[in-house]
Amino acid sequence: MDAIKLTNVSKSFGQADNRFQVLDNINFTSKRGEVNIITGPSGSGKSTLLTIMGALRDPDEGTVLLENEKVANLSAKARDQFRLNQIGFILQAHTLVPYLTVRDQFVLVDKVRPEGNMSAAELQNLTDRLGVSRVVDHFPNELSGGQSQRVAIIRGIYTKPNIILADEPTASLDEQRVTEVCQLLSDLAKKENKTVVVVTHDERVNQYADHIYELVDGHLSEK
Amino acid sequence: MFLALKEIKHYKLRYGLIVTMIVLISYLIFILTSLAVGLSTQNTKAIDSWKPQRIVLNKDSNINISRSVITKEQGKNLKINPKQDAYVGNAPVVSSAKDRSRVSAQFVGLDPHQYIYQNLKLTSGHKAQKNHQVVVDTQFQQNGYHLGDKIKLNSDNHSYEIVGFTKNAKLSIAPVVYGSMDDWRQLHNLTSDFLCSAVISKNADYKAHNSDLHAYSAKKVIDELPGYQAQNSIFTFMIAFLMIISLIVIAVFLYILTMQKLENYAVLRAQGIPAGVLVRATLFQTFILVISGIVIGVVLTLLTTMALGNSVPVACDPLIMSTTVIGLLVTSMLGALIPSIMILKVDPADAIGG
Repeated sequence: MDAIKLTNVSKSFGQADNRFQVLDNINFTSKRGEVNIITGPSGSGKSTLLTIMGALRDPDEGTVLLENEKVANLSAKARDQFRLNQIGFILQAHTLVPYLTVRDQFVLVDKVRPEGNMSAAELQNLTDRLGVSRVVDHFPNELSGGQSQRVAIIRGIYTKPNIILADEPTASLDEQRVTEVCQLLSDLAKKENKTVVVVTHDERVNQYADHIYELVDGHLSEK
Repeated sequence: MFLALKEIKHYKLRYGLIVTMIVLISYLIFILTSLAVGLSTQNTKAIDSWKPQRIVLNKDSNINISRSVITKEQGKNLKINPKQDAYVGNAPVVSSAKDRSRVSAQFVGLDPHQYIYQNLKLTSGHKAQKNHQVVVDTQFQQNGYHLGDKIKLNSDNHSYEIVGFTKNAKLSIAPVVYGSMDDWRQLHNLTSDFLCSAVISKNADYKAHNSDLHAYSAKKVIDELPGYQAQNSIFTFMIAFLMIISLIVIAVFLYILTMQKLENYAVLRAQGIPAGVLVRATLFQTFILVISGIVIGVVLTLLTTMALGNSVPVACDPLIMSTTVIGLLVTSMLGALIPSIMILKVDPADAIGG
C-alpha cells in the first residue's frame, strides 16, 4: 500500500517577477515498511517537500495522497485530526514545549488524544532505549542537545503514526546515538510497518535507507 | 487548562508580575468605585431612608430642597396621609458648641405626627419631643459631641440640645440635624405662614394641586442635588477609563507573551494539536490571572475600607462591586482575544520552515 503518493507536485513562492519555483513536477511514492532519505543542498526545497508530505501545505499543482486520503479535500480541522492520528513529525531539538517536563510533553498529547498513544510501558522501553529515562522530569532547558533531540524523536512517534517525517533527526547526536536512532526508525518501518521519510544532510543515515533521493533545484531524483 | 496551569507554574515570576499589575489596576478601580459609592450615598442617605417616590417642591426652587419654601396658602390643597406623606423643612446650618469643632450640617425639620419622624431609628437617646431638641447624625459623635450637649445653629441665639443620635443621616455629604418644623422656621427666619420646604411622599402618584408647586420624582430631586451628577460622572469616567487601560495593558502583555510562544504553537499545530486547545489555554490562563488579581484586589479594597473607617467616605456596595468585577473580567477577556486571533493564524508549516 502506498502510504505517501505525490503526483506531479509543484510549488512556488512569491509573485510575478519574484516568483521562485521551489518544487518542480515532483513524483514520489513511499510504501509502508520503507525508509526513504531525501538529501540535497540548503534551499533546495527539502523542508517544503516535507510540509507537503505532512499535510501542512498544499502544492500549487499536482495531487497528494496520504494513506489514500486526498488531503487537499480535508477541512482545516480534519487536517489537524489527520496529522494527530496519522503523521509523526520528528522535528529539531528546540521544538519541545519549554515549560513542560519531558513527561508532560507526552501528557499533553494524552489530553488531546486519549486513545491510541504509547502505553506507559512502551514509553518506558523507548526512553530506556534512547537513554532519556532518567530525565523525564526535567525541562527542555535542563537537557543536552542530544537528549532534547531524542525526546523530540519519541514525541514524534508517541501517537504511533503510520507516516513518520523527520527533519534532520540526527543533527545533534553522536555516533552511538545516530546508530540507535537510525535503528529505531528502521525498526519502526520494518517491524511495525510504518513509512519513514528523513530529510537530512547526514550521510551516516544512508545505510538504513531503502531509497535515497536527491532534491536539487526543485527536481527530485532517486540516487 | 493543562497547558495554561503548567505555564503559570513554570514561569512564576513572569505571571506573578502580571497578576501584580492586575491587582494594582483592580485595586485602584475598586477603591475609586467604593469612593464613588461612598460619596454618592453620603449625598442621599437621609433621603433614601425616607423611601420617597415623589417630592413636592416650589417650582422656583430649581429642584433643590434647601432652596424650596412652601407657604401654607400654596400647600392648602396638599393631601397628607401621615403614614406615607411628610413635611420636611430643610436649611443648611453650621453647628458649634463650646470646646467642640464646628460642623457643617443640614437641618431637617419634621412633623412628629408623620412617618419620617415616626420611623426615625436612633442609635442612642430619644427623639426630639419639643422645640430646641435635636437628633443628630452619628458623625457628631465622631466629632466629640455627646447626648445632652447644647449646640448653636448658625447665629441663632437659642441653644439646641442633642437628645439622640441616628445613623446614616447624610444629605449633600453633610450630617443631618433633625428638629421641629418651628425650629426650621426660626432658623430660616420664616413666619408661621410657611408650611415646609418639601413634601416627601411614598406615593408614586402624589400630586401637588397647586400651580406654584410641582411633584418631582425622587430620582430627579436626587440628581439635582448640587454637584451630585458631576461627581458621579467624573467617577464613572475614571472607572471606565481604568477599565479601558486594563484591557489595553492585559492585551499588550498577552500579545507579547503570545508572540514569544508562536514558534511553540506552530510546532504543536504541526503535530496536530488543534488551535482550539491552544486558544482555550490562552483564555483560561487569562481568566486565572485576572480572577487571581481581582480577588486580591477585592481583599485589599475591603481591608483598606476597614482601615479607613469613617475618615474617608468609602463604601463597598456588593451589587456595584460585582458589576465592576464582571466589567473588569469581560474587558480582560476581550484583551485576550487579540492573542487568540494570533494563535488561530499560526501557520503550522512555520514549525518546519522551507
